[in-house]
Amino acid sequence: MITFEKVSKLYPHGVVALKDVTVTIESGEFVSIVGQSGTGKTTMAKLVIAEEQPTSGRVIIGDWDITHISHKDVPLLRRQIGVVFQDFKLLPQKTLFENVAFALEVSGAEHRKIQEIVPQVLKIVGLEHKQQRFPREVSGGEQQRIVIARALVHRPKILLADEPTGNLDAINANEIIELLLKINSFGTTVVLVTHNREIVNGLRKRVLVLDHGHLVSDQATGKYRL
Amino acid sequence: MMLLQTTRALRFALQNAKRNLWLSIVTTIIIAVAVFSISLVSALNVIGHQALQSVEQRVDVTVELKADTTEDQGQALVSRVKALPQVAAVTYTSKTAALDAFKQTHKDDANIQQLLSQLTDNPLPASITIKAQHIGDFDSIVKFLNQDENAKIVADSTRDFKDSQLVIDRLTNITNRVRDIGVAVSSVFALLSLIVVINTIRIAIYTHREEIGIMRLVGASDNFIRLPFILESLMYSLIGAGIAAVAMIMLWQGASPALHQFFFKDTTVGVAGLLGSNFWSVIGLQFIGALVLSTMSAFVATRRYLKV
Repeated sequence: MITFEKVSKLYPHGVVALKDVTVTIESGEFVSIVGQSGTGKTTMAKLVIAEEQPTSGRVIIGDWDITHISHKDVPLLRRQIGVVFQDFKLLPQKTLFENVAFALEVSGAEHRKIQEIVPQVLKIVGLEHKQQRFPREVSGGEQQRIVIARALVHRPKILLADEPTGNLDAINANEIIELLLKINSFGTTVVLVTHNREIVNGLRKRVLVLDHGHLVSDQATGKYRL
Repeated sequence: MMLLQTTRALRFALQNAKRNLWLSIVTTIIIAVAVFSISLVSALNVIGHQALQSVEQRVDVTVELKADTTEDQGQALVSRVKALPQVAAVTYTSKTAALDAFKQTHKDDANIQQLLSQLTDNPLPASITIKAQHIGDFDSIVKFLNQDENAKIVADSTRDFKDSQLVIDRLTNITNRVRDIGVAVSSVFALLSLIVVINTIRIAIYTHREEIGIMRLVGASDNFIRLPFILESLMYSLIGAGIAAVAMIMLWQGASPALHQFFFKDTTVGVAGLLGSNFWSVIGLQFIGALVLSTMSAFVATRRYLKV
């Protein structure tokens, strides 16, 4: 599903974000990518959604080699991957319903389909009763649940969550992880980028450990270790 | 698909304008003020141009004919002068008409009336009064009058036009300078307004820069993101240009009687004529200008934030 072949990413002034990373994530897996700040976790996530391009190596999503993806094709890729960000990235001038609907509108979905799907997804994340509120009118946990709803709305095969619990308290963080597990149980590949030890240890799923841009550990039922 | 995307873009544009009401109002007002400034300066420029034209129309030169010139010779000269492309109008004043006019002018002056009654012969010469198309044309008209056939009947004292020439030269200088200043001031104002409109739209879009990035991250194409911003900018520009046009029409209608009285009384040019022709083309041009400018500004401004 996601393949990194000897991927390196260098930033200006000799900053090494990733070095020769080779890894394959299979369809339906739940994988956590862990490591301290600045070890290349977010760079890996950015490479998956083509927000960055590798300096060397190849990144393949499904059968699609996105190493040198064109600017025009990037939206097509992103419509197939649901992304959850630490800072939510909700559109502040749109209601919760409109934020979720937006992800469908960009792909040209019909109005009727949107009116049918969005309430269903809002129900999954438990926010159907707050759909007409704006992001500033709900809590951080609720905002993150809306982000997950937006990521799910076009039924992606991959859900990429970059530090989804970083801005949340323990209760809300656990709720978000429960939601991700539920989504994974429906067959969606979930990639969780985090540095939260408790969450990773509690999951008992595959763990990739990054250290200074190198992949130092890949365990099928791993624990957070550095 | 195209229709669906356009409808969505229009809905997003209206939603954005409504939900950022203050920014929308401020943007529209700034654009209205900028467009109004251009209108006002353009209008002043046109008025100035027309005022100069009216001054030029009031300038004429009277050429006295020699005492022995017959009426036929005088009329023939009038025909020849009239045929010149530089000449706007020529009127012939016969000796008798000149005397009648003189009597009429001095009808209350007893001394002059007494002197006139003692005359046995009409001492006043016949004359022709020439109006040129442009003030600078008098030079070539004078040259024509100095040609052999004409020089025979034009009085020597008036043929060199030195005094008239001096006045005409000064007037030509002043009018040319006023025109140049008008064009320069209009150009500066147009440029300033252009910068103001472009930057106002850029700032309006700058406030949405994070949203543009988010839209890209959730899979929106460049055009899908851009179109609502272009439509929104277009809306501000057209409403702004509309407000400026209404303000300009009100001002124009309020001021035109006074302007007419001041500048164009007794002339063939005037404010009413301007209102019919130039005015609407200026307003139309402003709408087209606003349309092109806002589309381009929005297009360029969004491009910066689409590189995600």
